[in-house]
Amino acid sequence: MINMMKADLFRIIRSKSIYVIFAIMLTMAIISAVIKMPGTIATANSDSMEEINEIADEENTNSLDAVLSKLDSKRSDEQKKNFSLKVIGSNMNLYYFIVFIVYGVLAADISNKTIKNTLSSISDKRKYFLSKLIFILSAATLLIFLNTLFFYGINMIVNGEKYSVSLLRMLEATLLQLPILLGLTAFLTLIVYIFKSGAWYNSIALLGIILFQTILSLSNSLLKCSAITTYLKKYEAQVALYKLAVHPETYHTIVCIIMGIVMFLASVIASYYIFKKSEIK
Amino acid sequence: MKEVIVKTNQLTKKYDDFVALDNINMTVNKGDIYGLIGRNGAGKTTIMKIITGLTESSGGDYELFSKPSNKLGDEKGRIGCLIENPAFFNNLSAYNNLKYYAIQKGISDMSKIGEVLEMVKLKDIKDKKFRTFSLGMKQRLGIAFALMDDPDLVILDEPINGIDPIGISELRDTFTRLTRERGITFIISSHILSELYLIANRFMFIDKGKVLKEITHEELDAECMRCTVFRTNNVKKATALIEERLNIHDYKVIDNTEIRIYSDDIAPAVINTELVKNGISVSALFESGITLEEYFKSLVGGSTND
Repeated sequence: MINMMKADLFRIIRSKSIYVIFAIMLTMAIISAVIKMPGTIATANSDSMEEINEIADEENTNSLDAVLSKLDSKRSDEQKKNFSLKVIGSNMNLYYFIVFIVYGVLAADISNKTIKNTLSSISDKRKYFLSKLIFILSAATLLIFLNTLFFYGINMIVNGEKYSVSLLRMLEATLLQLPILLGLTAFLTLIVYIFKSGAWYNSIALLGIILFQTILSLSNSLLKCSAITTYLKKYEAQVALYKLAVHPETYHTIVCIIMGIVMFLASVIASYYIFKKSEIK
Repeated sequence: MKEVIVKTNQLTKKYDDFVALDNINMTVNKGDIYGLIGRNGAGKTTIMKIITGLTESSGGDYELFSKPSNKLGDEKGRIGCLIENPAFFNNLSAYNNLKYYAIQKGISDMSKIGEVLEMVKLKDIKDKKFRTFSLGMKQRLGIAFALMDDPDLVILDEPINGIDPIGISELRDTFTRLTRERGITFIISSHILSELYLIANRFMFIDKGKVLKEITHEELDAECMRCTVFRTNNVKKATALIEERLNIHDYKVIDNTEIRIYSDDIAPAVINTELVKNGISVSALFESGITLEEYFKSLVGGSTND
């Protein structure tokens, strides 16, 4: 199993996409540090943009420099420090990077049918499943913490201590987010085992989350269901990750950790069951 | 007694109502080059997939290296495989593709990669990306993958697809040399009997999931070879006469009524006269012998699998 993980490492460091991921991660960390606002790939976290627009209206200016400077002056010392936590709060961005990791390690192997080389003369299904899962989870965890460390380092260089909480606090915030992020990672592997196609996986993993959020928002507006409202306000992945990093509350944290663990276990069990039963073509 | 490498017992595979394999019994001994012959969809690949664990059987069982399938452990590492089309990572070179699997197998001596690439004549283009390979080159890389790590059993599914005639001849020499020098056992499938005939020492004919015949190279030769067939009621007396009077030694007794003479030094009419003169009645005399393809067709009966 260790050899299989070593082989995956050998292959992943030879693919361009891992370097693209690191480049994007660094770029986002630099941009966030420079503009002193969390950058997001997804659309739902638009607080920062609203803040910018409000100040631009108040000041009647289109200059980003002027708006950012005004915004900075309006912030208290605590808010300035909390900015670093807000960046960690936008870690849903990492979902898109994890999508690529799962693709590179697992979906490509199944989609290209290279999996049969491993299963026919090297390993059995159980070892294959475990080694891929452990490798993906390790890579995702490493990526999540590297992102925190990258941002912490860059932010300290660009803005100094005034704009950052301690590294320990940032790592703690990241750790609280881990169950949800790893639950999502396990769910991505489930998509691969169900569809066994790289194209289907990419479509569902990338568009599915947007579709999911849209359907939830629509159902919330149409059905006025309190459970959906509560979910959207507190436990929808993007919101939950933000709250866990910026305003952690005991009850909310426990529910989020349980949600993450349940999603993780359910996905892993379903994936293994499907994989064990499936015919390798 | 030869060591048994693969043994299947009533191996069956069903997909809903469709029977892909129907009670297959097959024994492959150490050092065999075992040819699996059948048309497309006959069940050749399914047998290989079950043996290599890519799919599960619906019934029956099999042994690998004398170990039951449900107790296999490290035995898988003794197998080299090329099942169906060769699949590798497009963005990696031939060398790096093999290196990836060498790491998976725990091979520490990477010079083995160079050796197998040399064996399949891909060493000069080892740094070319897999995506730029022709079908023949892909096939060669698949064979190199199967031969890496000195396997005891090599399973090759239609390995000569897309390979040019000179390449096929070179691969034939490689397979026979590996069997001779290292005692490697091969199971090779093909729908072209004439190709397998040149390397295999045993054959299994399969059609619609059923074994039609398991036969050695010598037996196949005997069945196909041009010969004169004599049917008589006294085989014992007839063979004595053929050997002593006519000095013919190249013959075979098929059963207690039939003798086949492969030598064409003496005309059939002369043999017939001699037999009759000595009181041996001949109930039938005719020339026989068919090509390999005719033999194959006679077995499968010309029906289609579609």
